[in-house]
Amino acid sequence: MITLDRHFVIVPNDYNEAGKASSELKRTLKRMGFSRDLIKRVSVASYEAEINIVIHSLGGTADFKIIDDVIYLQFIDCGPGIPDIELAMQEGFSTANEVSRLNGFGAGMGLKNIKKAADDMILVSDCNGTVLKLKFYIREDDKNVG
Amino acid sequence: MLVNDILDSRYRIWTVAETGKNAFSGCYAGDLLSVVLKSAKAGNLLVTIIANINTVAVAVLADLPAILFCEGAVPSGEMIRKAEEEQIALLSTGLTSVEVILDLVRRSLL
Ligand SMILES: Nc1ncnc2c1ncn2[C@@H]1O[C@H](COP(=O)(O)OP(=O)(O)OP(=O)(O)O)[C@@H](O)[C@H]1O
Ligand SMILES: [Mg+2]
Repeated sequence: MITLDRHFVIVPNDYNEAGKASSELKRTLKRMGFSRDLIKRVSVASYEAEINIVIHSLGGTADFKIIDDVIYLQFIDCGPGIPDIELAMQEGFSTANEVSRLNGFGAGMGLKNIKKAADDMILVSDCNGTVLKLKFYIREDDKNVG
Repeated sequence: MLVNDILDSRYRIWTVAETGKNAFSGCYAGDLLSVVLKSAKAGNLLVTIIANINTVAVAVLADLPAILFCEGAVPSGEMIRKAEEEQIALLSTGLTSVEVILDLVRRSLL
């Protein structure tokens, strides 16, 4: 059964709007009564992915779905893509510009945080854009907590 | 510890008085938001110089009850609104992060 199905457009370079989709996702998960641990893992991963689209891409979309006991997050952007995914996944690697750094981004930790948080992660990228798919399993002790 | 315990002539609170009653335990200092997300523990006071709406978003995600902006950084009106909506306290000081931590330890707040 589908219990959540949300779609968001992510605007590039808009630091004030950045994180809106993930904040709403967190509120929704809270309302649905999931455990604090699950909510934190999902919303941190979502936030990092959303910010990456804001600061590194030409814009994109986020889709959040819950089907039975699995949470799916999908992020798609319009490029320029990640030339070397293995390098991008390394802690500390960042191409964030000066403005992003002044806003507190660019530690090169985001993708690592996402990988650690998610139960499953697929990252596909070429010059047309980047697709990030994340999966989180809802365990029995994650339900009806809040 | 309560946020109000921190306040003296060197510290200022920007959010409604109610948020001064927020409890915190321990603190995390850092200016790179992804590292804050990775390392800060729920309930920590966040000490940082990064004062933008994303700092508040990170506090929400990481369940941090208060943010202390140091070295003269101050929150915008929008940040204050958002923080109040989420019941997060925003404070500021001219001290550096290290001075803040030494001060909080000296006063047995950490
Ligand atoms: N959606 C994207 N489009 C293009 N490049 C990206 C995208 N996401 C990540 N990257 C590339 O991968 C690098 C590493 O990303 P990661 O999120 O780990 O760190 P960061 O965003 O640079 O810094 P942090 O997330 O710690 O603030 C980025 O600097 C950028 O070069
Ligand atoms: Mg990032």
